[in-house]
Amino acid sequence: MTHLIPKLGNVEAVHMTNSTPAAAPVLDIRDLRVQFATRDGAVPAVVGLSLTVAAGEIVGLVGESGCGKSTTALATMRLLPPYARITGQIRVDDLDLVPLSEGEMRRIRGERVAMIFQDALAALDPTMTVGRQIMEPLTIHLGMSGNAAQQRAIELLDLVGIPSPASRMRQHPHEFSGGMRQRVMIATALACNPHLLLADEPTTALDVTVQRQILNLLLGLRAEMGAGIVLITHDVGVVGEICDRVVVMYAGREVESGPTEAVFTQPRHPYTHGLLGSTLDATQDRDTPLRAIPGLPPDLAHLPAGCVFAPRCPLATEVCRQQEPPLVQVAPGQQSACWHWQEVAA
Amino acid sequence: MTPPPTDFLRVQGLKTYYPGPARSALPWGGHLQVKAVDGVDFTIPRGTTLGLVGESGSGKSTVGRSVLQLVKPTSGQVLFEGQDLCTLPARQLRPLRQRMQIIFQDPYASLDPRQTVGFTVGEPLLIHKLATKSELAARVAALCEMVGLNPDLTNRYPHEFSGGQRQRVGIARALATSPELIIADEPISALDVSIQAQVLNLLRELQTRLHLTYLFISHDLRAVRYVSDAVAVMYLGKIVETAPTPMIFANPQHPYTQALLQSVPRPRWAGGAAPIELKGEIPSPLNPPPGCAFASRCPLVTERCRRETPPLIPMRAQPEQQVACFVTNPPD
Ligand SMILES: Nc1ncnc2c1ncn2[C@@H]1O[C@H](COP(=O)(O)OP(=O)(O)OP(=O)(O)O)[C@@H](O)[C@H]1O
Ligand SMILES: Nc1ncnc2c1ncn2[C@@H]1O[C@H](COP(=O)(O)OP(=O)(O)OP(=O)(O)O)[C@@H](O)[C@H]1O
Ligand code: SF4
Ligand SMILES: [Mg+2]
Ligand SMILES: [Mg+2]
Repeated sequence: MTHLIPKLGNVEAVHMTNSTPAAAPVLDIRDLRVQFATRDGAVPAVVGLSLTVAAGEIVGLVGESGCGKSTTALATMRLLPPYARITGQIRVDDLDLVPLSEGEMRRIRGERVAMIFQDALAALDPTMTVGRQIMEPLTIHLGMSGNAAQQRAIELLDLVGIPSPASRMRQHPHEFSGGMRQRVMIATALACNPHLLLADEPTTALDVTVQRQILNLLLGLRAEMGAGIVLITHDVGVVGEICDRVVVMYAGREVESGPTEAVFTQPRHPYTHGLLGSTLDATQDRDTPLRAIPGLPPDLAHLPAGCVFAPRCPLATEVCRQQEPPLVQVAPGQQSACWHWQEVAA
Repeated sequence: MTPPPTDFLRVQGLKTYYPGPARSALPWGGHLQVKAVDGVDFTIPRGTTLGLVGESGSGKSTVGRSVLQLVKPTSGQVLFEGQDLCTLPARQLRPLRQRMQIIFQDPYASLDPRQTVGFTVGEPLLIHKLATKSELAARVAALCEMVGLNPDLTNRYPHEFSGGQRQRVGIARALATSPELIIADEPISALDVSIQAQVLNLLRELQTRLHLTYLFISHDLRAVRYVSDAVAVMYLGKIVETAPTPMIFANPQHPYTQALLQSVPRPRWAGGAAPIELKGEIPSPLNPPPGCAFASRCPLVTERCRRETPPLIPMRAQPEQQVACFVTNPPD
């Protein structure tokens, strides 16, 4: 059980695509709603989101900063603050997590479901050595002895590319660089071979050579363990490289989803189109300003009627400003919530 | 020796070491040393941008913090308009601080959790007496809008913000005092591409308008290419290659730079050569190898690389490009 995580450098895995997406879902989210009670009233951070991830599938979750990606993952871990109200269903392996008590969740977290948090410094305990933090899930969930857990923790640090792992175990998080902390969190998340991994910006603080090792590690986890992975990232290149499907969110809602290649080469929502259009490419000319989606991100506490994207949308018409567009199928496996999806040119 | 007037910021022989982990689990073993920055030189002319890229843990943030004296360098000089900040008494350093700002890599840890984000953004204006109380709200709103943050959110606290929203609070705060030098440590890593574009455009526009100078630290090579006039690549505490931006992207010479440029993720269907994965141990600053630090992962490694440290020297064909590699830029 403890040596199942594949070694780094699993190059064949890079080009493996998932051939049996029909497998039973490890994650099945239905009509998820999350509201934060704040001084300015209720902030609806996630609104009617549905999302499934099959065993062995990697699903990308992308969208504007503040659109509810981390909130969705944190709701699944049941780690939102008490003033967050969650409704809907979050099934992991046939078990609905929404009604579970904190005590029951503690047994599931880190074992069945693990998360790589976006903010490593906030997620790691500043008073505990890095070594103890990685050993903790191993002793709690796998019942390993102190010695075995220590050996395993050193292995895990080595696996995520931290040099001198045995000495580094004795340091505290603030003595690590940004990317090293991120890798410590990845090591903690992988420790117990979870069925479902929620990876929130797992590689943003890493140089691309180490990023590649981490991506291969994720591909290995799915290929050899059949884990399902939700990958939250702003890096469109990473999504295009390793995600089977992608879900695009805006203002707490799914606005488009489908097979990655279809969505990225034939987007059917103006927001997706704008997002892809602002992606920097290697040929970007230094003297032309980059394209950005005009307008400000929406204030969730005061959303417009109709389509939430309408105030910034180049295609918006009267119907958009009055009625919220439903999600409709626009191609096999691809959905879009836009009244004018047919006019969105690739 | 007074440096020529174009040298707005000049860093020479910079070394910054941290006390490292205990040598062993036993309390009397003493501590290892982390040679985070181990002899770095660069110059940033006023009004230009130096992009600093490199391995995670190679010392980029430490360089940034050392320039601003947020960590005391072990040795070397940081010359800001010719004055060495490392030896300047605190009293004389303070007025210079207003002219230099940092955007921290870790947006959450660098924001005060007990203050509203509006306060955080506006605080430098009050500290340096650059705005009156009555002007403050309007200035804060304008700064927020500049970085794509909804000004209606300014009475909220950092924990109510998403990762990217916090990062923009840090950027707005850094811009508040209109500094001349900005150390931007991964300023766009938590932002979606549309807001990235907006922030990069803003940085470029401010530079043209106000002649700002940037040290831009990032793992995003496309962004570095877009904003930087010159690029320096770090590996294990040292610069291994530096050149004007077009040159280094068109013709990378150090094998690590080459690996970086070839590892950028791209969609499966885009075609092109398969990305390469470097094999071999990543070296440790606790126990730096003799010889070239990249030797353990380098596809071109020779015997000499494992014994001697290659010097950072100009290429014969184009001296603006400096490379530390025995194979691609042999010293003799
Ligand atoms: N604890 C909280 N209290 C109140 N509002 C919150 C809280 N956490 C998040 N929010 C709000 O909910 C929305 C969604 O936040 P979330 O962190 O899920 O965004 P995200 O998609 O992960 O963005 P990013 O890409 O910037 O990390 C944001 O508008 C944010 O301001
Ligand atoms: N406060 C500290 N105390 C001890 N060691 C530290 C401290 N800060 C950084 N280090 C060490 O210094 C080295 C360089 O860290 P630094 O944060 O400068 O790297 P970096 O290039 O910014 O990396 P990243 O790209 O991951 O952010 C690392 O080995 C790190 O462990
Ligand atoms: S429904 Fe209308 S406003 Fe919304 S995205 Fe489509 S075209 Fe734009
Ligand atoms: Mg987030
Ligand atoms: Mg750093």
